[in-house]
Amino acid sequence: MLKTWELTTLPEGKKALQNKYVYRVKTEHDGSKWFKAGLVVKGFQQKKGIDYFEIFSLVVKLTTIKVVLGIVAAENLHLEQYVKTTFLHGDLEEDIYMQQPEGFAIQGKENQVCKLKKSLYGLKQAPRQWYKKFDNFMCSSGYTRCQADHCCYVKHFDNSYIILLLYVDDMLIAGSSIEEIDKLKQQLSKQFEMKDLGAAKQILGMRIIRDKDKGILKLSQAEYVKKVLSRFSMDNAKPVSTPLGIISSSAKTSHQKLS
Amino acid sequence: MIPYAAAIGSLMYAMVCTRLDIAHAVGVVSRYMNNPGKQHWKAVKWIMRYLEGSSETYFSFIAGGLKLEGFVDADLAGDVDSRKSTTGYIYIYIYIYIYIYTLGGTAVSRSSTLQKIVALSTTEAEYVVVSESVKEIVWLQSFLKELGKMNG
Repeated sequence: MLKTWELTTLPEGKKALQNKYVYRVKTEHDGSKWFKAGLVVKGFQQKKGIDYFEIFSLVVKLTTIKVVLGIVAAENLHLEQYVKTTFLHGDLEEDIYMQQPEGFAIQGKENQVCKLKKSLYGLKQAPRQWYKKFDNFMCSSGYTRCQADHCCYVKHFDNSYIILLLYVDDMLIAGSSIEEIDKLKQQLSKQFEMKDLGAAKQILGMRIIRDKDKGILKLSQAEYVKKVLSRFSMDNAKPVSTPLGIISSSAKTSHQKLS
Repeated sequence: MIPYAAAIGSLMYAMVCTRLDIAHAVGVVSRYMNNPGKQHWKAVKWIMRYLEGSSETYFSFIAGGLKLEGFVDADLAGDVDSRKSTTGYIYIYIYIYIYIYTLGGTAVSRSSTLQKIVALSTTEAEYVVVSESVKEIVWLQSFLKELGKMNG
């Protein structure tokens, strides 16, 4: 048991949140699929000032990613990807009750509800609680949070350094020394449940293609573009060589309605 | 219903991530979001046809010495309907091999937007661009300094 909740009777005046299961098929960079099932809380039933006080979800700026990837390619650094497997780790500051998950109600205690101890997927405060915990950990491990982007952490060693980028529960670790990176990974996996994806292959739907011998790092969205084109049935259209073709005359004078 | 907004949204994601080449085109078609006409939908499809012909375009970084350089430009009254000008700036990593020669570069930050004011002259339009782009370089400099990549 992860000790995510404990069973209690619902105190008067409190409401228990409903929950549901979410099933998803995830596609990996190599095309393989895996099935994911998870319990989420219906966070939209939460009321501000009662069930949550502050919400905040921090994501790294795209420019930050590009600046760091540029440095990675320029200095031929290692680039590793690490993913957090569960969102359960944030601690909760509020009292939140949830109905027992369907099919898993404990016999004889069907009328009781779960009092949450850790934040679950779907809760409004889950991303913030996770970030707070992660930030605490990174700062106490000697990393500096960048003022320019709070999702970027740096630590300088004698003759190497590590840059860590956090994208909610996905992280990119760049550094010149694989030993220091491994050390950081060990520390991280001691604290949180993590999955090591090895060399980074995908970030925000962009493929990362690397040729370390030639010193090239490429970002590609070829798959995404193909998907978009087929969604709008344009995958067999005649290609053109310029991005902007027709709009040249004043749009107001020659406005033809779209049907 | 023609999925005009959905199509632009899909194009915009590619534009923001790796396809800077369609930035201006997407910027133009997204101005007509609330009342798109036939010619605007044609322009959207034109962008898709362009993407189809260039779907193997990569965004690539290469090894070498790094230098950050910026370029700015503006047009005057590029939007025929509102007479507003367009801001464009780009910051790129320049790769230096032997001091004098530079070989290409990779854009780390760029923007192409319609200016908020109606500039009366090309000079005024250029001033607006400079102001916008300096805001970005101040941030970039502070970030690179924190990473220990800037001297002084």
